Amino acid sequence: MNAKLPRGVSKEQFASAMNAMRKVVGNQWVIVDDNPLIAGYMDTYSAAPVSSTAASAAVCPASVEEVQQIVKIAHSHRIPIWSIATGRNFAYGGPAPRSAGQVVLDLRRMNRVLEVNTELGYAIVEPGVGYVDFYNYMQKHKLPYWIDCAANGMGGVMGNTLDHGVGYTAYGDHLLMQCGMEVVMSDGSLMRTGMGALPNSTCFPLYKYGYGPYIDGLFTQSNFGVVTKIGLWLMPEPPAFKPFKVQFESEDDLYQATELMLPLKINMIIPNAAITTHLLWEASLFTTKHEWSSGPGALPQSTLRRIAEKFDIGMWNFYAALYGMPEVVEENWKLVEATFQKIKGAKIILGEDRKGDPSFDYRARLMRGEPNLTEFSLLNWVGGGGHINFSPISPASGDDAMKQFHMIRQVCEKYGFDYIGEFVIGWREQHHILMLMFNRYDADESKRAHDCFAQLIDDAAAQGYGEYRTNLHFMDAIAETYNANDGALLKMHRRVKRALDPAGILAPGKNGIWPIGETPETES
Amino acid sequence: MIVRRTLTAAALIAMMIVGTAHAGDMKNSVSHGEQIFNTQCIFCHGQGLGHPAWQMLALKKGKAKAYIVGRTDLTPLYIKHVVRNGLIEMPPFRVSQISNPDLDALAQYITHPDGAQSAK
Repeated sequence: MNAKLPRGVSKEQFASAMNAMRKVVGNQWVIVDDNPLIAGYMDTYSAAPVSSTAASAAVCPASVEEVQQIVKIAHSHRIPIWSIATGRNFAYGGPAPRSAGQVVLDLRRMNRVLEVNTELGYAIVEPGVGYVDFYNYMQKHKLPYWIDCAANGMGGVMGNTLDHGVGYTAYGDHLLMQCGMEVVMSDGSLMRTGMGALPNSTCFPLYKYGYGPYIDGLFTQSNFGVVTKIGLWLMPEPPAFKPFKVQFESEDDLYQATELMLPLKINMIIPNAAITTHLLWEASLFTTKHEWSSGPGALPQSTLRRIAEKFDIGMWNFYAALYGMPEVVEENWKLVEATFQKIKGAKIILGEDRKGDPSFDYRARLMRGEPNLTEFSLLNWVGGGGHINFSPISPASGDDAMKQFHMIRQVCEKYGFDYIGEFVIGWREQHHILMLMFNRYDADESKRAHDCFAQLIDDAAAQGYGEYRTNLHFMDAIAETYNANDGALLKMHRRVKRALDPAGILAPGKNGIWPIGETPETES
Repeated sequence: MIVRRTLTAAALIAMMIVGTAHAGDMKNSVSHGEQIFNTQCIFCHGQGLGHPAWQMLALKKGKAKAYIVGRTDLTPLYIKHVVRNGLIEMPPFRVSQISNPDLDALAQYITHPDGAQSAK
């Protein structure tokens, strides 16, 4: 018999639910926590103990109908279920639930690409379709479209989209390119959004808004339903593609680089999610911290300079690409080149200049939607695998970039960590991604990482910066920072939760949204 | 052109497993294991920089042991344990990602890519 139970659920109630679920999906697809296979549902990278988010069981349906039946059973037995798609968003909790004892609803077996329409340029996918699956599918069928993937190539199309993730082609704003959604509601009923609500309509993946309120966003970073299908728009393979890198000599160049880049983004000369990445993010592909220091604390500036020189990496490194007709690309390239030549010492690099360079290579592949996992080299920097991402949003301005960079680095160094960060530039804002790396087998280091992250949330909020996404353990803390007007937004989220999931069975605590009667305190 | 409900790679693989299990053909099993390796493992365990697991193993065990395919000091049992439980920087893989028959074929490929029978 399993040792863990969902909060407030008796052994008998739990056993009855598991037995009912086995009848739906088959014995082998209900994994309770006395089965060694439950190890696959751990959050293995967080700073907190894995026991704090250990699932009591996992259930793996293979169809929408099975999901509906499982949700109905969970509803009738009052079992909290935490749905995952591919469950590979490692820096944010991976496949683990928000709190110990919740049952993971693992949708990975629903991994079909249901449709690709090459005239209209869309696809409809199930939750378990990973980037590699999708890429291989497009390649196998020789379809003239690119996918857009996150840097974690083992991630999945739907999960990343629903968590507001980004990629690196011109279609890198994943939620923007999503159109049409199918959702299993907490009572097991099935709903389609937008044009999908109209019987016989073929516009489910074509027109987002349908008729009445536009509600797709309600089912992202939330726990109001279980999404079982999404439509997404596909980027046509462009006739010309020109990835490039610009290396900057000084950390202070971040200001000018950001200021000069913004008009190129707003005017869509650079249409993709461009990146400005710091030295150590790049360096981890070639070396580890232990090769430069055996002591505690962040590396000093003098060592950073030596690393930059040895591997020919900029203190900041800007990556972007141009797409389109060859003539247009070449004209735009003149503008890009002239722009960055204004920065003293800037080194402009094209693919032919860096043949065999794994850092240029993986960035170029991401910018053409080719999944890879090269960025996981970051895990080798200190070793031990621990990593959590702190990711505040700011205007894409030089002032904000410099302010955030100094603020975050100062806090990291206070707790003994290197600053390893990058700015992902969107349409007008930037996601600042700090990769907080630590040895998760070192209890003191893990605690420092946790404390560092907590201080970063507070310090950022005090400056008006909020995070766009976060790890399981910080979902409440970040939700509480979005507290204008006496917490009106979070209150509204919780009211919607009560209306759509009155039994509170769907992913309790996701992004700070708890069912009635449950609070972060009662869970912890 | 509209492609509808085409079998995914995973579905094709599942069909192949059934075939290999009945045929008991070790070479087919290894070939299937190679397919699993190339869709699930190669991004970290491929050869050279840019493959994080290769990079770490090269540092810890030397370049000769950095590429795990064909290493004679690894057993299928060990491979299966690491895949299911993870190891330091490597995450565990769930049974919904790599089924038990797929894992058998994968472990067989990694330890004996030449198709030789492995010790259990």
